[in-house]
Amino acid sequence: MNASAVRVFTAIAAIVGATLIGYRLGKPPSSLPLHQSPASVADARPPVVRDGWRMIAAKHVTTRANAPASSTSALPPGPFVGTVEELKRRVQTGDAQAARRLADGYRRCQFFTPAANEAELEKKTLDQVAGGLNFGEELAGQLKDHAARLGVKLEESKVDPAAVYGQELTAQHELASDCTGIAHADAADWFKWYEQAAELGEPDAEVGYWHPALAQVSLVDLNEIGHRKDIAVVALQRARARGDWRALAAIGSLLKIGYFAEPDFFGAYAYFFAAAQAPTQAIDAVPWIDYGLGRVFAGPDTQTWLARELSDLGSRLDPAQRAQAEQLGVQLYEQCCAVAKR
Amino acid sequence: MMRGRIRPLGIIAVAFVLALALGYRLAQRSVPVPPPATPVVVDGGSVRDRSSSVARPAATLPTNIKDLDGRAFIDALPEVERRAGNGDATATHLLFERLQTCARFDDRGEREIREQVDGEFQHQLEIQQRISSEHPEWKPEPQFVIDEDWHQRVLQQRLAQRERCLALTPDQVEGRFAWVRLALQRHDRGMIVAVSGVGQFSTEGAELVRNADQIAALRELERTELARLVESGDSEAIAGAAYGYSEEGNLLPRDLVQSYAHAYAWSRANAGEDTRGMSTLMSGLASRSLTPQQVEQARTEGERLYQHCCRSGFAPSAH
Repeated sequence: MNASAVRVFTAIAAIVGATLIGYRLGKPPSSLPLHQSPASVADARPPVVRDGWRMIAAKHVTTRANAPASSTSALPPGPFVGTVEELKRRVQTGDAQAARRLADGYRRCQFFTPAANEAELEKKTLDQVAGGLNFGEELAGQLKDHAARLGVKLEESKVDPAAVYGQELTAQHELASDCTGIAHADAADWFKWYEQAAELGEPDAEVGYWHPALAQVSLVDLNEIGHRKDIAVVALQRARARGDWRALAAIGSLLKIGYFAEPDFFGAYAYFFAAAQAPTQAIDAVPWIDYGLGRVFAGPDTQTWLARELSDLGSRLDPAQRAQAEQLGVQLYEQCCAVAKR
Repeated sequence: MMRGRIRPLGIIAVAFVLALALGYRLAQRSVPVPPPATPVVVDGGSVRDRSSSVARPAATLPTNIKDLDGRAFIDALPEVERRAGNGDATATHLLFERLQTCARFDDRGEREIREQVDGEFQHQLEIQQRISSEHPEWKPEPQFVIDEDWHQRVLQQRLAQRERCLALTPDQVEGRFAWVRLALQRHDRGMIVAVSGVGQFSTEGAELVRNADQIAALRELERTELARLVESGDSEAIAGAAYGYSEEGNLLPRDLVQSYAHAYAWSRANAGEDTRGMSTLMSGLASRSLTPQQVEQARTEGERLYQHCCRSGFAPSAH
């Protein structure tokens, strides 16, 4: 074989070899069968689990600066109406507790109408208590029937009407003392102060703001909704950074409902699972479950409520997804709240 | 001499690189395309299947596309979108309606749909039987007769909706706002009247919060377009505005004075005909929501509207 034939042979061999090497490089790894389904790929390699909230937070937090945390001193004593001016002055200085107190005080006075005299107040209270007890009896009767059908034994509880009346009368006196002199328009504007409390960093308002801000928006200016969404996200991120597990539960609720993106049951499950890692507390710790029936459905404590949420969301995920969400949840809790900052 | 040796080596090097690239390309082409149905739950974005995001060949559409639903709708989607993009009002309306009814779709499975429809059927049947026994002279309109045909028709509609909604991506569903905007920009009368009144095209709750920015821009456009139709004396548009601005209406923000004013103008223009609906709306607003001064203001505005748009009779509605 002469030299030129050797050169040609070498060149051809090099080209064929290069083609084979290129083919090899371009081929997917042989450990994965070519016709593997997405699910089995997921089994073979752990998928990149994306935290749906992170994108939402990034979008909103960049558009709004964080509010400074505020220091608080003892709130002024006495009936609410007498403290309003002092509370407003304190809010001007960035006092979050004062803003929250204004919100709560005004909210409480929203539907207050003063009685002409003591006799009228007593009559009004009596009517309210009687109406409430009648409704309660009716409800109890229905509950008993329902329980009997289900074979559940209910504990009998006796209500003392006189005691209920006494408590309610005291409450009415307090309400009158707090709210007489408060203008209806000011009371109706309670949410403005609650929003300020959330922005100034009052812990309960930070984690609970999203609920009144976004749940009833049919009469709210559409341009206002975007502003509220920004405040809600920033407040929750701040609460989370502070180590408040309730922020995780609130994010779970937001992802489940779909206020920021399409409902994300995987993300919601992960965040609720994260929240469930926190020690049990009474349900009162969750400010957005603040009304009668909501509390009844949620249960007496946070673990009961979170278990219900997880059961509902879990039914929408398959076991593998649940496991991934739980893994993410544990990480989220570790990052947020494992070293209890709160 | 060196040059003479370098030349063939250089050619071989270039050929080597080209061959490497060729091999890589060939290998890439032989990688199978992943199956279209890729459920996306892991990414936390949605629980919906994204199978329809894979392009399908354009289907031949039936002459009457209004009834397209289920898999047939999904298959025809590229063609329906093409037609809507080219200004076909029927295609745009179909697209919007089919996407809108997936916006709050919560899938609980086929079995639950069947059970639910069976329950509804039994309930409706009982009501129909009770009314018939109490009022033997009563005969329902043929399309409202509750029978096995009705039962099957409703069941097929719900199953088709499920099939369609599971196949659409969240982005496609959210894209309905863009289709409405396009239709409004084209002054599509049917769409203007449909979205601004009362009923299924309302956006509320989480959906409203989620899309607040888009909807705000859209409502602005709706109001402008509706006002243009009202100015032209379009009877349906005036009625649409009366209901649209009311408490139950789609137009946001609500404007109860405008609601009353449009109802007033409509009633004036339809004097002598059945105006009970508008009268009920006006009396409700006057007794519950408006002050006497606001009612007076609304009447003045309503009279101005009537004088301006409709005194010489309504413009023909069918454009």
